[in-house]
Amino acid sequence: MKKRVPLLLGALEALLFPVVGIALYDALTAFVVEAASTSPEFPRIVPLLLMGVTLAVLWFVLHAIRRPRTATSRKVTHLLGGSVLLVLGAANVILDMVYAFSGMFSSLLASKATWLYPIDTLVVGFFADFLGAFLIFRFVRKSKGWRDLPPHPWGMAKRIAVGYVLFPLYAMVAMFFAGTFVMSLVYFDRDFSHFGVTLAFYLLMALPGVSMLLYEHLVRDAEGMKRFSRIVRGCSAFLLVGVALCLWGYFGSLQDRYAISDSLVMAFPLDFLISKAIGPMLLFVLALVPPLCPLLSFLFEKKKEAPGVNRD
Amino acid sequence: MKRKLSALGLLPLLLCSCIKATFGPEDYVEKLPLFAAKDEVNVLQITDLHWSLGVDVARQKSYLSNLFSAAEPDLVVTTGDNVMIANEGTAKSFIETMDELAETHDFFWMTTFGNHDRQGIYEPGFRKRALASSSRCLYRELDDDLTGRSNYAVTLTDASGTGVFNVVSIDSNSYFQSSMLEYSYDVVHEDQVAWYEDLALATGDLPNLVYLHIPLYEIEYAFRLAGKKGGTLEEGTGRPGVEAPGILGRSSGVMHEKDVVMNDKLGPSRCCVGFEPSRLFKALEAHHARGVFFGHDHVNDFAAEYKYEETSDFVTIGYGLKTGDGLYYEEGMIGGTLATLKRDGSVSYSRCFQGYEPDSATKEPMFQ
Repeated sequence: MKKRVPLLLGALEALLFPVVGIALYDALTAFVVEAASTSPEFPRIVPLLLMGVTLAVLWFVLHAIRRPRTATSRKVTHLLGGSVLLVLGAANVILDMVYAFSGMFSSLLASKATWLYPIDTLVVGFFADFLGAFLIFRFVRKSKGWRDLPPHPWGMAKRIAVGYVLFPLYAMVAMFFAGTFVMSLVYFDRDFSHFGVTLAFYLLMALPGVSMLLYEHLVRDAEGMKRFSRIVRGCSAFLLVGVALCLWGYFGSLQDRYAISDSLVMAFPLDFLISKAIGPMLLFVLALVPPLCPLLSFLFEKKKEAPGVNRD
Repeated sequence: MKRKLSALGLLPLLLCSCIKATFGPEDYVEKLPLFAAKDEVNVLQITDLHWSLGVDVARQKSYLSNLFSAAEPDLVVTTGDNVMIANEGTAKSFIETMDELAETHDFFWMTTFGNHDRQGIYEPGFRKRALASSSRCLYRELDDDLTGRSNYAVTLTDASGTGVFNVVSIDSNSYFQSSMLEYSYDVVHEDQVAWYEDLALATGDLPNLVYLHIPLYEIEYAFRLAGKKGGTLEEGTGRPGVEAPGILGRSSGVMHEKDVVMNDKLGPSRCCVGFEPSRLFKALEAHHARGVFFGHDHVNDFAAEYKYEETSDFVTIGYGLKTGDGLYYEEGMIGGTLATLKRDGSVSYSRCFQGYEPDSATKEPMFQ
């Protein structure tokens, strides 16, 4: 049973990844248009934004629970994570109730912001409350028995920079594009008129999420030569694939100048408000930079340390 | 061997599916006998409603109803950006609302797409199917090779079925990737101009009104010529001191958009035009177009009589009033633009200002 729990949590984390991505995609697209408006209808989309934030927090809490290092961090994850989920969930539920009773929503399926809006925000709110309460309960009943694992080999500065800044940023962007990729099933151009170019961008959207999930499940817990081999081979493979897709996308979109504006307009909601191709550029960066960083970092550390004694 | 032969049999079918059917001009035309019972027909242009995911449908419906009550249209033309960052639900809400209002106020409606209409969480063909299910919309989209989707026309006929006026929708398309980092607005393509010319000839060169979304370069030329006649840039009534081709007649309205340099072909302009000029206006001038109207720039409502050739009739070119408060607008400058078509082929224009307050409708002639 104890061994199955981490596996189940890992599976849940992987399954939630695209779901959170869809929620972030919906939230961002709604936010972008209302933020640009001189008479925004922000109150009507606040539950949608809250749902995106709640699901993202839920995913990060789940991720942190799978990776306890010290008893203290485990307690903080349960207590703080649980409390934040409780508050966000309650905010979702209360706001929906207020809107329903005030007539802002004429019913729980009244608005068209998503297929099940606003009832989906209500469901997420209740689930977040349940999970938050469970985590706090677990903290109260079990935390005294929690013990520390072997200390992390990284220094505090590196752990904070990578674990609390770079990783969350990368994860959020990877989730957003995973959501965009899934939502492309809805807005995909059935005429296939620009498929030769848009396929490159669809694959680029999926790349950050796939590489992140593979790293989490195949590399992070590996040790010694196995770890070395997986990092070198994995990062090299993703880098090669990334370069190929970037070149394909770049030259393809210069050749077919209507590919993105015709078939991928909803993949990059901000771009067409400001007429700048930020989305494709971001995808190129995400394809090239992340595989390079662990590869270079690992090779640099291998040079400094004795072989076979590295865990991070 | 049998499998290979039967697979070969599929080849003609596959080839046929790649070849689009060719259509004649008459295939793009819907006939509407609005002149059967009256000598004047009101065509109201509404534009840039920008319904989005958070739209308050009831409020916007009430606004439109007040506008239609004041303008009393027989035909409503929406010139694009009906929705922006929407989903199927929002787009269907828009169509259902227009249909309900069309039943209540007794009009038909047609739509041309803007650069943001494609910006929705739906596949491109969805809009065609949704509009096809409308009870009062005359939208027509053929599976052809013509650039754009909303290229079609409505011929207004009399009781005997004889055409009196054409109302033409031309798709000004959306964006063109001018470089890896930038998108420019697209234009009416040469094949669409040729399509318009064929349509005009096939329908006997009837007087016509043309509607599209992204403005033509000629509106900026008219604005510059209005500057020479006394209009000022500060008030938005003209741009003096810059040369422009063409001949200007009357003009009215303002351009309150900010000056931008869209490209080096036009220089500073308050019009967010396409990446290059098109031949469309010259084709309109040659084929008895009475007017061409667009939207896109929400705080411009400048309109003018303009032509290139001395011997031609003026074509009224102008912005329609932005409708509603979606995305951005200027207080006191929203509503619709009314064209009253007469049996003799003449047209008079007026602006129908409509705010969100009840009884805030005012109407004034476009040219005094």
